[in-house]
Amino acid sequence: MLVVCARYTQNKEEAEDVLQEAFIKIFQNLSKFRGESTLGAWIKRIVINVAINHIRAQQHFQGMSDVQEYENQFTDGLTSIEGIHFKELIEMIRKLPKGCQSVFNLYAIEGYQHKEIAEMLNITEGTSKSQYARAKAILQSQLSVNS
Amino acid sequence: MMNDFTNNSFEEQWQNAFDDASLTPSDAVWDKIEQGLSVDAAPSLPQTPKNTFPFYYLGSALVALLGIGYWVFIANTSISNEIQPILQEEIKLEKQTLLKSPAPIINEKIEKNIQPLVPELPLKTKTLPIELSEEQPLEIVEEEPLERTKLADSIEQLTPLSTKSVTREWQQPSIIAPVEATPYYEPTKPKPQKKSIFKNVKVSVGVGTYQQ
Repeated sequence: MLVVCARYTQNKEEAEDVLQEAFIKIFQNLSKFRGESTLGAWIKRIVINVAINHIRAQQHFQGMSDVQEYENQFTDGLTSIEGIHFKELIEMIRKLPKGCQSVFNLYAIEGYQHKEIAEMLNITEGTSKSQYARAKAILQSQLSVNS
Repeated sequence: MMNDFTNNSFEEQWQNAFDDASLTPSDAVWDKIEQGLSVDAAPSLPQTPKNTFPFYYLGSALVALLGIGYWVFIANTSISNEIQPILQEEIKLEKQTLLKSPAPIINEKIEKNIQPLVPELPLKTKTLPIELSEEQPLEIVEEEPLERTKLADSIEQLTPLSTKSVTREWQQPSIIAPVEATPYYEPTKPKPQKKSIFKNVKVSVGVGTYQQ
């Protein structure tokens, strides 16, 4: 779960703070777990929610808007991330703009739809899509430089 | 289609990259979690409203029950105790009247059988004899003229039949000086007259000749 926290935050200390807060909530609400999903999925969902609330408290989602120029860029060529250690990938994600970082994590890694992301982050669906495109373009450019 | 394929591949690669990824948090994190849980659990201990909640209602319900019990068992019995001797007395009287009453005669009418029961009821009312006198003719009684001093006190005694005129002596009330009439009356003080400047100047007029 610390890896999840690390993807949404900027450094290890911040990630551990989010993890601590998330686990306190998990232990407090353990009786509310109804078994509708696996315990791991339930815990991960709480960790993600705490991380998003942590970012929202820092008002990182307020300045987010549609960024059209990144759409459909770098989508033709596939840049492989095979062989790259996940810590390097976390560092690449952390270099993304703070709004893009959460959208990328939620869409690409967690598998949420843009509509769900828009509700979670209190943004429009179009903003979510454009922010994801922006994040993807930045990451692919980084990967192409590294390769 | 190619774009979709590459997109899915891109996202799948990222998902696969973090599938088996794990980081170990420092020991301080678990200590902080324990502290956070103990801090959150501590204030919940004194919050025991359930312990105090029923006592208020139980106490009030007990008082209400005692009040109702007093009203039902004690207050009502005291009223019944007051009524009971009266009822017993009435029962006795009824028995006495039944015993004293003559045996009913079958041949007589039913009205006669009922009659003795009614007057023998122990009514404590006294009947005062009213003497009815024959109508007397009204006589006009001439009243004697009362003295003036007595008349004032005996106005009620005058009847419309009194025909005599009452003479009253009328004295002219003496004019009372305003000083006597009002105790707080202060007579206007006479204004001090201004003394003329030439009061002490004596003017002597004479005719004479001046001689050197």
